[in-house]
Amino acid sequence: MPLREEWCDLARKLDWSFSYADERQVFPEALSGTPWLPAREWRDWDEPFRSTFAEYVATQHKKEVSFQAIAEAVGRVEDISQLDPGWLSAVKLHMATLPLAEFAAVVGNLRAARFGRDSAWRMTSLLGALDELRHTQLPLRAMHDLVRWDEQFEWTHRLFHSSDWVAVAGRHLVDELLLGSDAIEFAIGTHFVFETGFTNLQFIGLTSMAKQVGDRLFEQMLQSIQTDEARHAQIGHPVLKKLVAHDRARAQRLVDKWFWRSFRFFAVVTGFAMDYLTPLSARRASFKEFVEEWVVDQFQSSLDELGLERPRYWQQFLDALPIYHHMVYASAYTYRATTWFDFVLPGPAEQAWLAEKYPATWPELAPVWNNITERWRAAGPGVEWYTHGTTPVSFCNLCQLVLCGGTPSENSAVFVESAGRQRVFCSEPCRELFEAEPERYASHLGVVERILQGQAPANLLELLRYFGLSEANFGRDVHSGDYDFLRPPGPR
Amino acid sequence: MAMPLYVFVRGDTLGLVVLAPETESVDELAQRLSRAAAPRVAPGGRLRVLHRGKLLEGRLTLAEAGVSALDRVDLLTEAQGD
Repeated sequence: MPLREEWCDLARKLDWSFSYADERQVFPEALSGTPWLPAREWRDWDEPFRSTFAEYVATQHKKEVSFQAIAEAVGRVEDISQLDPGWLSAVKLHMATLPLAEFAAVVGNLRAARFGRDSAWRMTSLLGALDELRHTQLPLRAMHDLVRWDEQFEWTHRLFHSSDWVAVAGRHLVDELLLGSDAIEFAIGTHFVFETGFTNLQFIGLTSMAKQVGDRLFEQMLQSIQTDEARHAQIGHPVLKKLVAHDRARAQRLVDKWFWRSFRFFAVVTGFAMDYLTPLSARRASFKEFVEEWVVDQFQSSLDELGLERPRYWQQFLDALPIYHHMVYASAYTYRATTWFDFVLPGPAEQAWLAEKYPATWPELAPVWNNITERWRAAGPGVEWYTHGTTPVSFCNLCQLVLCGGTPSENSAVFVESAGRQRVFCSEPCRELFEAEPERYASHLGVVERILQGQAPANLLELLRYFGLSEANFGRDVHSGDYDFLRPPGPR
Repeated sequence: MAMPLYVFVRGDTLGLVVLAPETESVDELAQRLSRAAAPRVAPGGRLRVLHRGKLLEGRLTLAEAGVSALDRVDLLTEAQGD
């Protein structure tokens, strides 16, 4: 039996010369990516894990057995129903937005497994595709048992099949990044930016919070998934290194674009969970602090190592970091029936924590929460509509998220007239990205365009049905406004 | 004819879309926008509508004020507009 080092490359890095087809036909640029380079340029491509299929199967089997044991021990309704209701909303948000996006990543990885320009890249992408399939199935299986107890968990599977505004925004990102990108853009956008730069927030940051909350199922699931992510995310670095050597400007453009788009996505998914839905006692750091540690420091050092500049929209990202997700959360709280998860009203203790973590921006946000709080106090518990909007909201023509850029005193929405059509963007980066590739985005209809063209109803109650929501599952305040701090002081 | 307008209420956290008749007065629109944002922004003070950098006369209709479909309008209270 030869030593592992002797046979390893036979199993994972074996390229051959084509005799009856041209290399460009085998790896067309449209699918393999730009710049198209001959095979000899890719020959030294490598990544540090160097797993073979046999090793992969053995490792994954152990992980599956371990997760299954945890799911059987602590994943029953009677276990989950004991958890904090705000935290369960964070779980519902995560479960609906990520697992089916991971399923789309199966396609992206399989495209790279066929059209990636080096055999080791293709092999690692094949394992990546199997990882992503697992990352879809684990949550679907774990949440399935909870649906009979709480219908909102059904959105683990349903969200991306719906026309809900979060699904429209999510699909816009996922379709382009995971389904519509060539192998090079996929590797940089997904593996280098999205996974190396941002999923650490979700999979490491939230894991520590799950532990504090006592949600062992979620904690173990995220840990199990993160070990896969850590391996296949390594594809991004060597692809980017090659791109930097041959087309530095394109490398920078792809990093610029996917950095901004990833930030917008994670600001909502992770920002909500870390700063609002996780109970105060379980919070270890704010969303901003996690981003500073995992993105600002670590991602920046990866860029330095490759000799790339900070992303073009770095300053806008730093400006948005302490405010954007707060703007979206306050907006979504007052349109909570348009989502499938519930929202927490930050009380005096939570507001004090937020004021301490966000000293520069919270003073502008506090009046919004004070107004919502007073309206709950006036209406009393259970009267959800008094703190709920009914007027349609507007969305960005690029990221498809609500126009929540800037601050309460200066919304950063940008209006542009082009080809006889008015478009609106939440920010300058979204405008620039749209205008750089209009052929990719111009025909997409956002929620407002659908309403204006008669494809979707303008009336909020009818719009909820169009989103696929009903009274049985739409979002509410987690306590229906019944908080101790809202009660009048008792008799002395 | 009703026209869609993009609306930003000063102090609010998001942009809204309203359908406004061309014959609606600027003051009537301002009242409606204030109510639309009321879950987040406490009403108060004299309301003013900003359009293309100018504060609009409250008694004018939207058509007279030059507001057209898909325009951006901002709602300010008097103190904010000063």
